[in-house]
Amino acid sequence: MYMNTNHEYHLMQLSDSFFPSGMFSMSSGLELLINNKKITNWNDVLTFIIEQIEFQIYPCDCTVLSFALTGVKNNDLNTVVNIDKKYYSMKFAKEIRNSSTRSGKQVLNSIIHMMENHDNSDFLYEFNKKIESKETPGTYPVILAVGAVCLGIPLESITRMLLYSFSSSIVSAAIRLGLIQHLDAQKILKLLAEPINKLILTNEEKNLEDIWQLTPLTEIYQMNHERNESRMFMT
Amino acid sequence: MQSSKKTNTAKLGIGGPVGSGKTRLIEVLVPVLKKRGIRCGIISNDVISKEDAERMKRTLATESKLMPEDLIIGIATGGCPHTAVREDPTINLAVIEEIQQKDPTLDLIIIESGGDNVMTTFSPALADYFIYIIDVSGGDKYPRKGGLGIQTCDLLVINKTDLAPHVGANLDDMERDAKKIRIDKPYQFLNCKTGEGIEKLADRIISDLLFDKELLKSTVDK
Repeated sequence: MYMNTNHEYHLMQLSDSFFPSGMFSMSSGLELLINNKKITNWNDVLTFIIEQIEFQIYPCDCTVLSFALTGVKNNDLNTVVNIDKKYYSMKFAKEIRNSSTRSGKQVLNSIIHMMENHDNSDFLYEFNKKIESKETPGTYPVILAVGAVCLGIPLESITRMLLYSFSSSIVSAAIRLGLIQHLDAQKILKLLAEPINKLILTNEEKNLEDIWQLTPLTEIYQMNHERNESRMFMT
Repeated sequence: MQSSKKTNTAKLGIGGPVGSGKTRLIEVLVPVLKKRGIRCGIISNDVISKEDAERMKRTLATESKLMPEDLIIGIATGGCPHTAVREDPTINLAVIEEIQQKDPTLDLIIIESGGDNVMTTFSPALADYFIYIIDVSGGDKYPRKGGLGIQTCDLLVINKTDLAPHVGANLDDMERDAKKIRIDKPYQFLNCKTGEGIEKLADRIISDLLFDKELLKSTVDK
């Protein structure tokens, strides 16, 4: 869509916590898990992130990202809309769904603003129309796929970015919740590099029906967190 | 005001230190604006909990029925209230869109954000007009110390004037310093407890943000 000589620049731009996505307000249930002493040290945070990635983010979010990216490349609006709806229906906690669509729409707004006056950005506008007419929810991984295609970022890179951004948002939340300090945060992110890379390199053939997730305890905590009177994070 | 469909509702940012009276200001301002035909939505960014939003739902919706409860929305900011209204205002922008979809005829959306003492500012994408509120009990040095919030806001409000003699704050000093540090920009004293100064504040919002001279107090009272 956009002739780009160095996709890494845009990859850094999208993955920067400075990029306006609203992710800073999410802990994905970590806040209540810490408050209830289910997570008590940096090693628990590392384990939590690995489990979330293995049982939710990689099989669900990353698979959705992958299929959506192919759909955008093929200019197949209907397929992308169907993937978007499927992802939305799989998120049980209300605030996880809301956060995903709020972030998704705002990231899309940023990409539209960035891509102004570029040729071949019709898909952006068409998908935005579908969101505004409420024909599709506009979830974060699907919007990320739209952005990746616009900015010339390949699937492997944008998948790595999604996993890194998730990990980074969790360790950042753990710091703000007072559980870990800044050096532990970097250690956790370093230790995550290998398992994340391993997952990405598995490169297995998938169908749309293969999208799955299984983190029931975290989802119960996320739903309880929604009803918590005193909390720092949206989720 | 008027009931025709609007695409761009005016947005008022209210920032200031915890305990300076932001929520109370909204509670006394909304009825005055409502009397003049101005209908509001409210977003409350909290450092922790949604307590302020819940309180306003009770006082402005349930008890006084001045507005529907679903037009008052609380946002948990992950401990980063400055980020939520400045560097990354996307959650607030998303909630503004949701409020506008619920009621496209609203005249004004008020965005409240708690945070630090002097450095809060609002993204221009989020607020068309920015009120920074401090109170005398924080010390009469506040205006003199300056900072982005105090110096760059459209209107500096100094609240809780009734407490000045009890906390040893000199209002004359505060006025002198506010004048000096803000040069030609406005400031005003306010007492949210008694309502003293609130009509004048509403006038400023109406003339400087809503640009509707017909709704100024002098005109409404005729």
